[in-house]
Amino acid sequence: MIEGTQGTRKLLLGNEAIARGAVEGGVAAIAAYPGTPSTEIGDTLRAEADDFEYYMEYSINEKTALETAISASQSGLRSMAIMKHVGINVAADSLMSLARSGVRGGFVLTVADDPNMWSSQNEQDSRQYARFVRMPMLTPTSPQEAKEMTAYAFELSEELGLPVALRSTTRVSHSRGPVDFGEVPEVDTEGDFEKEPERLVHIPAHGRQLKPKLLEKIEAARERMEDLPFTWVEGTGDGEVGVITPGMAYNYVRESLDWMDVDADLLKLGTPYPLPEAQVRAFLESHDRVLIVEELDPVVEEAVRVLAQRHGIDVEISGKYDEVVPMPYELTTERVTKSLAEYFDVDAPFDFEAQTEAKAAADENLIGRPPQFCPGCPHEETFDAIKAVLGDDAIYAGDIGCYTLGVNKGALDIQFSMGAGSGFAAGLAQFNDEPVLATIGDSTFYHTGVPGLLNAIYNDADTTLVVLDNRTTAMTGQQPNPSTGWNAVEEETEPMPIEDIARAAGAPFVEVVNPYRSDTIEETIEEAVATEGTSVVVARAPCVLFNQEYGQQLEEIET
Amino acid sequence: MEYNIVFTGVGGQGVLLASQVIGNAAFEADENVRIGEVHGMSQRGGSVIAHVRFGEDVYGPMVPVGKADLLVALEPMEALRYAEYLKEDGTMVVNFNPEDPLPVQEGQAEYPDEATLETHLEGFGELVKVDADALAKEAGNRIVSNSVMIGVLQAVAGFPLDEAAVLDALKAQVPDDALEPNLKAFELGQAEIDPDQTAPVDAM
Repeated sequence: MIEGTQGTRKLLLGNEAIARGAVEGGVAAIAAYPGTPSTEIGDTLRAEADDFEYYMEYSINEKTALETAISASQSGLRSMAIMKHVGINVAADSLMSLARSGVRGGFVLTVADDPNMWSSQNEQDSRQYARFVRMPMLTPTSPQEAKEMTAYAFELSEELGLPVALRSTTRVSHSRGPVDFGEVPEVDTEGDFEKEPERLVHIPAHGRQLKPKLLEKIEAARERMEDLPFTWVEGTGDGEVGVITPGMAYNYVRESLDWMDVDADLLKLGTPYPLPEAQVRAFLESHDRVLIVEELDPVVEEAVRVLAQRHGIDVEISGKYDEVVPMPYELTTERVTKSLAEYFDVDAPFDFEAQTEAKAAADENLIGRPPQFCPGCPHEETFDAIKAVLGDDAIYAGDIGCYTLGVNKGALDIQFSMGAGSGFAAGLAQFNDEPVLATIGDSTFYHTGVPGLLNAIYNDADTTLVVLDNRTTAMTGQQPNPSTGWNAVEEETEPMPIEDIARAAGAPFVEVVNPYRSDTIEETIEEAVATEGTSVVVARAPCVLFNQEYGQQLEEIET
Repeated sequence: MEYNIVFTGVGGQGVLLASQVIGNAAFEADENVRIGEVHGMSQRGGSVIAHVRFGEDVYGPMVPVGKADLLVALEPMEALRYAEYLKEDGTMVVNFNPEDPLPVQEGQAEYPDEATLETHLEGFGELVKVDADALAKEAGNRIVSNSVMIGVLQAVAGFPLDEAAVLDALKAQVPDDALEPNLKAFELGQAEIDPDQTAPVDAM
């Protein structure tokens, strides 16, 4: 999909456009952990790895992905780490140090946010990380711009000596638009690591030296953002009212203004951090009123309010704080149109209220279509066995993956984040009398589930961990993981049996079962729960969709 | 100029494929195009929506409420679920064959009767009912009902892309061995619309 010479024009998914941008930016190393809505970036780069020179891996989790990409950068290579928004939480520790160390080869952190939580536990705004880490960030508005920004981010990173983030959202990643291809440079994947302990070894003495350097670099970045080709002013306003809008929100504002036939100046920002202060200041000074329209948190609005206060600019600023623009969920053209109609004191171009009323009456006839287990899914068998043994007389901790659907079976009482289930299994067992059982998938087990299991065994928690091992990262579309038998670029690997890890850690009870054999699985779960200490049951059967796609490559085990 | 279509249906009915056929047809006709899709968890057995927009002044990938020229539904309840997207004089083409949601299959809820659905739908725009499943079977395979709907929508009055553009995109999207039933389905779909008006040739 992303193969093609300069001048080629294709209709690409936003995530494919980002993948193309990475190769046009000369990426030499890519590390990803899949997660909606970022997944297709890694999937595309993986599928087309043969056509290009770069190194590509699916990592165990986002932190190791980040560390692989940092390693490439510190070896002088252009590198990219890819993850969903909550993945940054996992990677954050090393990310903080990265900004302080700076980069050698251009480093791009590609993160996809999920406003409205279409497929996520929260809608945290990654732009907050840009400010927190002090990492310049670019926020695209379309597949074409996503491609351009990605390629540009590598240059920018090398120029500033800082990691640069490309922050997409569901509506960029999962939309299609025309994309014009540029040139793909020659890439060398041979690194040359240089020993620079003052920059790369984060002992306190070095940390104290690095902090002021980072502050200097980010000031230089602020200056540099004045020349960003992704920021511009448009409109036909008379200087009275202006709108500042970064990222995807730009599309909704532009369409709304046209729809309502309202004249206003528009400052479209290509970056939420650091703000190009001279440009923003000039915009504030040339208008009486300025509205900031952005999705999720008031990141730009807060920076603009601080800027206006620091320079004593006489301008009326509106946005989230005065509730003109809604804070939660994703923005849409109709939400922005309602906000703008109120702000500009004009009639909405469409009778949204009448439509909403008619829809509310019609909605009484609607029946939901909640997500379900696929027909024949082994996870469903495992949950049925667990419920048959323990019913409602247990506390169930769970995790993130297809098996979160266990909630519909009444087998999920607490579920927070990747790998948390095994942590809760240990903790809940320390404070409660009833049996505690946790469920977790194979990919999530390797991701962050292992520390929770080790903690349970070490602290002698009387708990049961059931690992639903379908030998693939199924939820995000069948990516390989250490249970599968091959890696991202389909080189054979030795599967890493979960039961071996549990046994090596000293779990007193470890059994592998076939979830389709209801008698043995129920018996095993019963025994596991009855055994004192931390028990591990690996319920192993390949994902049915995986085997459809890969032609029964993963066989069921004999038990 | 802009033209907005909302495609809806149930996961597995080929909603995304249909939206990509029309998106590609517009792209090949040199239109500026945006397609908005749903991926991930919301796809499994669930309600699916895809937005297709093309023309000069197209910005975001989602059709705003009140701006869709066409609503193409592969299932009647899914038409109603997203009916608010239609503009006042918009048209909805609906494959009037219910797919029972899980609560209905399990006897916890009852699928609304056809007349009720119809009455509500007609409140949002002009309704064109199609038995795409029957036409798909006639074309050789029930699975090609999305191609029937592509034929129907291509023939709706005011649809700006010509037949050749849509057919080329359809041919590019389906595998060679499935081409025949898909092309037949397209033809049968087209014949559902009287070329002089939007109303279906004969009521189902």
